[in-house]
Order: sequence, then C-alpha cells, then structure tokens
Amino acid sequence: MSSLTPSLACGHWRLINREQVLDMAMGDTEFLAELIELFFGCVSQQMQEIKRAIEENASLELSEAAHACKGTVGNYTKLEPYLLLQSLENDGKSDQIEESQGKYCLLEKEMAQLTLEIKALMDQECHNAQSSHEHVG
Amino acid sequence: MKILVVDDVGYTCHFHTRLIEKFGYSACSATSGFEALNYLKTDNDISIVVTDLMMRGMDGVDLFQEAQNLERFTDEGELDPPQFVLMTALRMQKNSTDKDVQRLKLAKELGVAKIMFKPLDQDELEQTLKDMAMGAPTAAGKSLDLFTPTQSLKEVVKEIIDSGNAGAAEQFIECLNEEVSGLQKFLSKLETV
Repeated sequence: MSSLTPSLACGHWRLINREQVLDMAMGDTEFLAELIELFFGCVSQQMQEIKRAIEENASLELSEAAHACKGTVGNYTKLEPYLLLQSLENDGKSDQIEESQGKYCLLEKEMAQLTLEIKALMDQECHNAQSSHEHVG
Repeated sequence: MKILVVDDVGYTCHFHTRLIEKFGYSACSATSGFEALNYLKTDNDISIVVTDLMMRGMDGVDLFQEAQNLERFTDEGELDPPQFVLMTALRMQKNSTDKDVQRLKLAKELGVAKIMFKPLDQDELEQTLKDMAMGAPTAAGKSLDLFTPTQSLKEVVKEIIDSGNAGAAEQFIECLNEEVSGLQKFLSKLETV
C-alpha cells in the first residue's frame, strides 16, 4: 500500500505522536476537542490560501499562507505535512514556485492522512473518557 | 493582572490564550501587532505580553519597541511597560533567512525578557509566567521587575553547581541567607503594623 494512501492501522499513527498531542491539551479531552475543531476550521482555510497563491503565482502570499499553516500543523506533527509546508514557505520566500504545485498535491494527500489520524485520536479519547465516566458512575 | 497573547496564526493564538487561561491567568488575544498595541493603550491590566516573532505588518520585535514607548497611566502614576515573552519557530541552522536571524538577535539585544521556541514547553511557559507575575503591578503598589534578577540568580546558582566549587556555593548561600533574613524582617514588620 502506498504511504500516501490515507490509512490507519489499528493503534498505528504515522504522522502524529499521540502522547505529544494529549500533552498539548494537558490531558483534557474537552480542551482537545476544542483544539481539534479549531484545527480543522483553520487548516481548510489556510490550504485554500496556499492553493490560490500558487495558482496566482503570488510568492509573498504563498510564503505567508504556508508559514501560517505550518504554525497550525506543527502542533500535531513535524513530519511530512510540516516539511512540505516548510518547503512551500521557502519556495515563496525565494520566489521559486515552479515546483510548488507538485508539492501542494503531495501536501493534500498528507493532510488527508493527518486528518484521519487526528479524527481517530479524538474518537479514541472520547471513547476512553466515556468508558471511564461509566466506570466511575 | 492580564496576559495578552499575540499571534497572526489564528489557531496558535487561540491555543496559547486558552492554555494560559488554564494556568489560571486572565488572558486576551490579538492577531496582529497593531491590534495588540490598541489593547495595551486601553487596558492597563495587561502586564505581560506573549507574542510571536514573525508576523505580517508589525512583528514581535516592533511590538516590543512600540510598547516600551507607550505611555500608560493609572491614578497611582505611570505604569511600567509590560514584560515580554517572544515566541519563535525559527531554527537558526535550518530554514532561517538572514533577516529572521537578525530580528531574533535584535530582540535579545533590546532586552526581551524571555525568548521561547515553538512548540512551547508548557511547563517552562507556566514557570516563566509565574516568575513574571511576581513582579506584575498589584493594587498594593508599583510594579517591580523581579523576573530579570530571578533569572540572573538562577544562572549564578547553575554556574556555581556546574563549576563544582563548594567554597563558592557556601559563600553564596551565606549571602542569600542574609538577604532572606532582610526580607523576613521586612515582612514581620508589615505584620506587626
């Protein structure tokens, strides 16, 4: 199976470090849910901005949009999506955006994987929280 | 006392603001340096600013400099400028351009109290804010910068330990004890009043 096909083997996270993400939310499931909801809202808009900047050959806009998206994604992973965003940011900064379209296509696939993993993590945490609540009750 | 979080990346701004609230502080947020300045002009409760370095328009260093020149008054007199924590994702050896590195160097030269690298170490941020809050203005009186001397003190202690110099450690403890006793006398005087 290609590594770019969004997939999630049981208990296997390719992009996110489960412990780090939970630490980010201080182990608070409600806070995690709030952050993840915000993440999805921000990232879809930032991806649109990157796409538009590439289509319009706007280097400055590309570097700014990729920088912003990198800041958001960096809270969850420092792997492929983050590295691609860093590369797109550098493309924009150096005004060399010939290869940016190709990188964007890869980025879309990596973001699909990241989304899958974050959603799975959230489902798992909600389930755990519910189970422990029932157990206490 | 209130903490202002400034970041032009909406997610990061919201995340850090909520994190600081979870530490138990009152926090507000701005998504640009200009918006932050307006907050500082109108809200005298803000005594600490946690800002990103790289932002469109006015960056964190510009904001720091503008904040130093801002005149803020209360009924008790002029307020000190807020203390700053500067956040950056910059890694000197990797993707940083000369300009980014220069801005970070300038921040250090200008005396920004604390520079932290993203993703922030939450424990370090909490401790930094706690230390800074010790010197924040209170209803009892004017603010004191306790953060800078506290940091220096920690550095000296670390230096002594690293050097393995037992004599220096004993001498320094003696010196600290004298100062602690001075503070204790001051506090007991206050209690008797």
